[in-house]
Amino acid sequence: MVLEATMICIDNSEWMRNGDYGPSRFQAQADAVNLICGAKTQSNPENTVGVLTMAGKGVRVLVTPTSDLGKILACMHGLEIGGEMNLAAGIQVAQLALKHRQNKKQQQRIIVFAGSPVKHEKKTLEMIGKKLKKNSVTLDIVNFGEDDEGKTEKLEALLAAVNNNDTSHIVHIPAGPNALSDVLLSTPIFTGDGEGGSGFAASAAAAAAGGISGFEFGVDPNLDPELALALRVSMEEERARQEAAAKKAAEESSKQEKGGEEQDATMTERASEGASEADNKKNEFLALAMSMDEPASSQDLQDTEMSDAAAEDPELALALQLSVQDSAKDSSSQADMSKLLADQSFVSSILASLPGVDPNNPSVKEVLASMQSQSEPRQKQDEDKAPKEEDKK
Amino acid sequence: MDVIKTQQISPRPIEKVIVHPLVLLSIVDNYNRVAKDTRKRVIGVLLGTSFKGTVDVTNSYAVPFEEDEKDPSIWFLDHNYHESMFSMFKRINAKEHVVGWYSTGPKLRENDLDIHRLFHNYVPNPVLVIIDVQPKELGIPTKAYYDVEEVKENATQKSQKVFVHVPSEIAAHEVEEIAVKHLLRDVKDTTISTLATEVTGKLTALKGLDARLREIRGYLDLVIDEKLPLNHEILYHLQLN
Repeated sequence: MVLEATMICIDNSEWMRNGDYGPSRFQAQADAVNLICGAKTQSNPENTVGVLTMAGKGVRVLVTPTSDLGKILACMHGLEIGGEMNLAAGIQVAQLALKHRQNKKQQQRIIVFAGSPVKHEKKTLEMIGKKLKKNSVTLDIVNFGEDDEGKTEKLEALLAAVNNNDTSHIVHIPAGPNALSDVLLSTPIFTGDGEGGSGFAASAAAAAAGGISGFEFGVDPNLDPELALALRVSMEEERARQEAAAKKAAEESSKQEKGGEEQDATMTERASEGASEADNKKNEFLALAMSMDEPASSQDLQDTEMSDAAAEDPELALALQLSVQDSAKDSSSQADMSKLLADQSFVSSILASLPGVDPNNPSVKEVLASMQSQSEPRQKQDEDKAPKEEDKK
Repeated sequence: MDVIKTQQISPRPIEKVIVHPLVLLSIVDNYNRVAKDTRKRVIGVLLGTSFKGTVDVTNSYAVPFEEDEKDPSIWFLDHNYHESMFSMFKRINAKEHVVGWYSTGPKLRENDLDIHRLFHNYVPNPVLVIIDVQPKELGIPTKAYYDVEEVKENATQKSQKVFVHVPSEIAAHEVEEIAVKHLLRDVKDTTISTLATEVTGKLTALKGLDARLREIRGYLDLVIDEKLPLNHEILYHLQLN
């Protein structure tokens, strides 16, 4: 939240008619200027911003440093394009304007949009830079548009002459699909302002992205904090649930791989069939897992409802947390059970594939029957499988 | 044949400029505050009324102004300040408009034409008054100018604006005269007039006349030597008198 007085030097020379940025270079520049003005005034209410044009009939100050955003936006209207940019004169007049700022405590800053070729000598620019440094003025250069020989060098030399403890920056923006203002948002010209400036920049990015919100869930926490909180909590729970499901699936798939390997080892001739069997089994495991998940998911829904209520009452939140832990334990135990099931059914299928073991063996049947009722469909599937495997044998 | 530049003998938009003592006082005060011992100058806005070619300057105020000493094309005048200040003055006296601007010179400078152009936005025919705050010679300290478009005979160059001098005088309303007399009481007491004071008065008047005659003579010498172009209007005035 630095207290600053800023002068923005706009390039309104003939080169700004070019359309390689946005609707036209000049429009892109105007949007960027509006954005900067907004960011500066938001980051500190006492900041002042002024605007001057460098080309046209000559260097002309449109607005002297003021904190009135309306005046600044109004003066950008009806600017004419023409002439050649006079960078040195522009920077010097900006410096004079900053000398007359009303609040002497404000830090002086000049932001220059250099879009057309720079016709000054490097030496001249360096001298100007030194003078700025002597008067403790910081300079930000936005290099866009034309890129002729030496322009980048000259601007870099100017920056080097002005720079004092890395407070001055230069940004090179090539022509491209992104708008000039969007690219600027991510540069130190904006982020150098601090948290307040970046907050504005973030909301501006949200608006600029058009639909894709900068904030999570498309809700501005400033506008509706409760809704944002509720959305965030439900998102986290969903994420946790998905992670648990993913873990189960991963474990099952790892066991699947193990089983698959053994099967392949035993039935090397029917490698493809083994794979298809493995796929079938995987589907079965997933079905099992999902059936396991359902009780867990119902628990989760209850959790979300409870958490909404908990937002208002911290004691209730504590109680809910404990209950959630319990339910988590339950679900984990259920997960264990499902793992066990998987194990058992898997073992039975392995046994079935092994020669000399008859799945119709009553002992195996008993073992299978001893499982939970949920394994019954599983058993039927196993029995179906078993004759198939017997046939294959 | 010399190429003679003809000047307009048609009626000028501004014939006379009257400066009130209040304006002189505030300009001197401005200069003392800001640029007393420096070589800088101060600039401000003149307010007043304009009627049938006579510009009556009744009020003034200073504006923040900076210029680069080495590069005269670099200058900055805070016109937002001027606009807010003028709107406040308008509420005090609605009849006073912007009539021009002043500079403490002491002479014309290169960027004066550019600054004059800025004031064209506020008044159709602005007048520039140069006030000499530390006059070394006799006479009134003001010099008034306004700009005209000068079309060169050979049409290759763009027409430029040129400053044209306009006679100025110091006059005051009755109330102002009383105030000035009151102030001058410490400086000079005009009620007592001795022989010495009358003689001194006549002496200064003669000195003034002598200075003007010398100037005319110098001008005619230069014209004879063909260092200055012949100007019919000036000769007409000289012959008339």
